[in-house]
Amino acid sequence: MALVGTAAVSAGPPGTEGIDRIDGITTGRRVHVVAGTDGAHVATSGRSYPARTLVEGRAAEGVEGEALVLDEPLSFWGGLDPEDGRIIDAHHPQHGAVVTGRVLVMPSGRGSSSASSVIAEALRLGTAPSAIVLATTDPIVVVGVLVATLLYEVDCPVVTLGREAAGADRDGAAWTRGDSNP
Amino acid sequence: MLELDDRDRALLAGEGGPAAALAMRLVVRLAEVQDATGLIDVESAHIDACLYHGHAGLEFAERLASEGGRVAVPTTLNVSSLDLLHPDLVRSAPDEQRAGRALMDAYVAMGARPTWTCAPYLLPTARPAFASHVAWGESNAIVFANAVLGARTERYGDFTDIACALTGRAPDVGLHRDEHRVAKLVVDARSVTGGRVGAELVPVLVGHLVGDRVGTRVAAILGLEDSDEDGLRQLGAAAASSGAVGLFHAVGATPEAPTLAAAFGEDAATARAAEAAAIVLTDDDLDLALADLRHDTGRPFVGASVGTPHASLAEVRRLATLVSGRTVHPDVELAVSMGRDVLAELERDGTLAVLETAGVTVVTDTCTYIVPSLRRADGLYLTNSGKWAYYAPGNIGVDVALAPLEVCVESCVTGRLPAWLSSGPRP
Repeated sequence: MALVGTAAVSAGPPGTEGIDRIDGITTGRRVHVVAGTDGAHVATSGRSYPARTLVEGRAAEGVEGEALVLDEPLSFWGGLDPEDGRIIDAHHPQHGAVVTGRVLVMPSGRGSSSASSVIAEALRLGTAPSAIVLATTDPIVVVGVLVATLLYEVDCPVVTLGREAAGADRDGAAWTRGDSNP
Repeated sequence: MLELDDRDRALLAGEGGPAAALAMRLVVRLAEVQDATGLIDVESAHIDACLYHGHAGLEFAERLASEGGRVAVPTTLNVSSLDLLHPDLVRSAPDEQRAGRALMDAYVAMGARPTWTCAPYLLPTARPAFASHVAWGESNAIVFANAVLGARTERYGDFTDIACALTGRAPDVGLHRDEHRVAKLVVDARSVTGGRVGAELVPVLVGHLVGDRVGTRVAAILGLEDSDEDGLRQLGAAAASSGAVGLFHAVGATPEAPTLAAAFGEDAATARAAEAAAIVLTDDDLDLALADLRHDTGRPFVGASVGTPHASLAEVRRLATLVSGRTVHPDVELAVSMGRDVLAELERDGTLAVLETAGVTVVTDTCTYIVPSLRRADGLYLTNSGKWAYYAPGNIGVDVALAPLEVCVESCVTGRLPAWLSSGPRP
């Protein structure tokens, strides 16, 4: 399934295409993420974007936090230090940013097979994001968060925003190409 | 909608015990988020999660083991954080070594084979058949199984690998399915000769470029008809490092691509159009890749590491021929990594004795770029592996330059780099 926005710009294969973001969700904005078994949405500044639940949140009222929007996919393995929640991939545009407690908005992971362990470890240590909003379904992120929620009873809802979700709302989220393409 | 069969529902309901139930929950969730309509049987699994990345991974494995988890299919284990056969080599912190060992023990307790190798396909008993479905982790093993053997595996990672092993099931998505295995583009390497580095590194450099330029898309590569299995696995390992490549086709060399049209599912028109729009690689591109894989801050030459992915019998025998009757210079180290099963065979046929006499460091069960095991990390290492060159500077802090095996050996015997490498490109 192509989970891309109404602007119809592909998120592309992880790490190979340009930069994607959601109009209306920028770093620093307060974002509210609800991910239930019967539906999900991401809300900010009075707008609500329909979403798809990948990992349910524990709290019915959802999670609220400050957005950290990544311009490129991030591999948690080699890209995130679970000890302090910092982005350590020197090639990443958000290198040095701290994900802890933020609503992490990113195009996708980068497919590294060990990334599940790293996000699970970050959740165990309390350095993880409070929620993760993806453009493209990333099974590696899903499994890492799911295992941590099974082991530690932590809460970290994971959703995708994209064309399918946005289809229910023509003013919905649009993943668009940023202008700082490499 | 995902349809489960009776066995799947029984496992979910706990009839196979709590560990299998938890594993099936993970498999089902994976299937749901990827919009699978069903699950398939897998014939084997290769577990990547036995390499220690933190306490969460250990607790997960220990919970599955303590709840009676047993693998449902033949399962091999990837490299670990320790070299059990040469315990003095690895110098990580004692706490981390204890945790690494506990993680290994948990996976063995679940019935996985203690193979401790990233090249399970070199084990005659673990080599998947053409078109068989498997659930393999470890990026080079995944691409080798898919591309070179024509077996079918998605790119499994930590936790999903053992979940598939405990259930014998996997979501019917991605590279398990015909439609995702056909080529999407052509890479034309027919004009490359190897230029100044020679033919041996052509697969490595082509692999690096393929990964960099195609990402997750399936490429059909022209110009590799003469590649042997070791060349193709070096290509795959390099491509799976620089990009998220899970499958490529080398036309005339890999089983799903006897012809270019075959790589495109016998759609000759699409194949022709893709060939016309091919990414064309030249010797100049190879030089760029060579420079890209060089990380050189000007520190002195201190050694060479070969055998990533774990060396084949043929690769180690070639190394032995090159070092036979010679000695590694005392100022440098020459290390070779291999699986313990390959080592056992080389011990029998006398090859190991040749390496030891020459002063070569033999590493098993782990690899030199993932744990501190090389004698020194304060200088430049040569390697013939694109994967090692890609990851070692970030992981263990060394400088690195790519060179053919013969140059690696010659430099380690003389203690000096050849002129063309000394004056090579900088980062």
